[in-house]
Amino acid sequence: MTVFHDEVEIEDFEYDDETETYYFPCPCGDRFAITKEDLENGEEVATCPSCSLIVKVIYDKEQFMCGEVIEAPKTSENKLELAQNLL
Amino acid sequence: MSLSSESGELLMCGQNHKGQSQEVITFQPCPLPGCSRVQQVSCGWDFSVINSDCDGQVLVCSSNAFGQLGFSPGITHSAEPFHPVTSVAAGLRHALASTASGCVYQWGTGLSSHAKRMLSPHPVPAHLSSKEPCLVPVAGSTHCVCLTVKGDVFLWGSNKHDQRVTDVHSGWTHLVVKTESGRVFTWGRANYGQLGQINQSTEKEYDISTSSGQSISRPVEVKALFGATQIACGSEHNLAVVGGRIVSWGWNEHKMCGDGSLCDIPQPQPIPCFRDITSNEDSTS
Repeated sequence: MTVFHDEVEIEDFEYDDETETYYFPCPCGDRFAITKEDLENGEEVATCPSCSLIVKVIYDKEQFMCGEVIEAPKTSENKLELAQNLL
Repeated sequence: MSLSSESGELLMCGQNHKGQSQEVITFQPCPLPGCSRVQQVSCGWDFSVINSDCDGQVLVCSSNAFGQLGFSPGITHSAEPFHPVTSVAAGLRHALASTASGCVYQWGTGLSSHAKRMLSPHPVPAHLSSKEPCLVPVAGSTHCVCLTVKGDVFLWGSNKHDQRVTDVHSGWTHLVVKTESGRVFTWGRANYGQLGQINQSTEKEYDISTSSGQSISRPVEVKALFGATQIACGSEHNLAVVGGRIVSWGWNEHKMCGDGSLCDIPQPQPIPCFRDITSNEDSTS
């Protein structure tokens, strides 16, 4: 029996354009990962390369199988943000 | 990772692909614009929140993918006057700040889709989905409102036993609090032994769909932690100093509990290689 650490919505994953992979933080410090190809094939398990924990990915399988890309924050948009006078 | 020294200097290390810091493996000083001293720093997953001593000024840096920096593109500062910030805290993808007037502000969308699912059909409160600092409605002086790293809200009210809380510590899905009398309570997710409570089974199965099973929704005292002088929570494990000894409990797959094994530790146990290590009251982190 598969024991999931958690269930995470695909919208909460961050998408990397270069690797075409969705990522979500793992408690160990690494990240759970599942590729776009896996999702298109109906896979729903994201694994962590550093530990035994796995998460179930919640997403609309029909939406992925027809080739649509789910909008998720992209890691390629990261930039150094230094703001003053926030409060 | 970030540290603030006694002299108010900021030291950082770690990855820098999102601008968190210089990409080094040892702590390096990180100069800040304008202000010379850091009061407090808190790290989220990929961003940092810095409370300086310049009129309660708050600095933020790194990823803003989930609004965790508290501003939208084009807005560099708020036009509203705020009381000086006294304390800051960073979650996975959200942050909080408390002010001298006792107000709490929150920003960062965090796991808003999770909140939508859990609260449906009710709307997600504004302070749980704002990309700019939003006032958090805290209900009363006897209530403790806590946010875990993942954004779960725990509300501890009903102070009928007059247990005033002095310390609050949060893992990703559990909380540890200490009262002024020295009693320590834990609640939240329990399946890795992170609550340190007796009579917790070692069954790892966690009923995610109902958030029941291996989770405790009300604070339960952990007598073994009575009088703890320092408490620190990792994501799913904890350290504490009790009676001059360092104890650990919780998730241990990566040996973070320090006992040399890979087995989760369900109740606080002294770390064997440390003997009579006392807490350093002057250290900050």
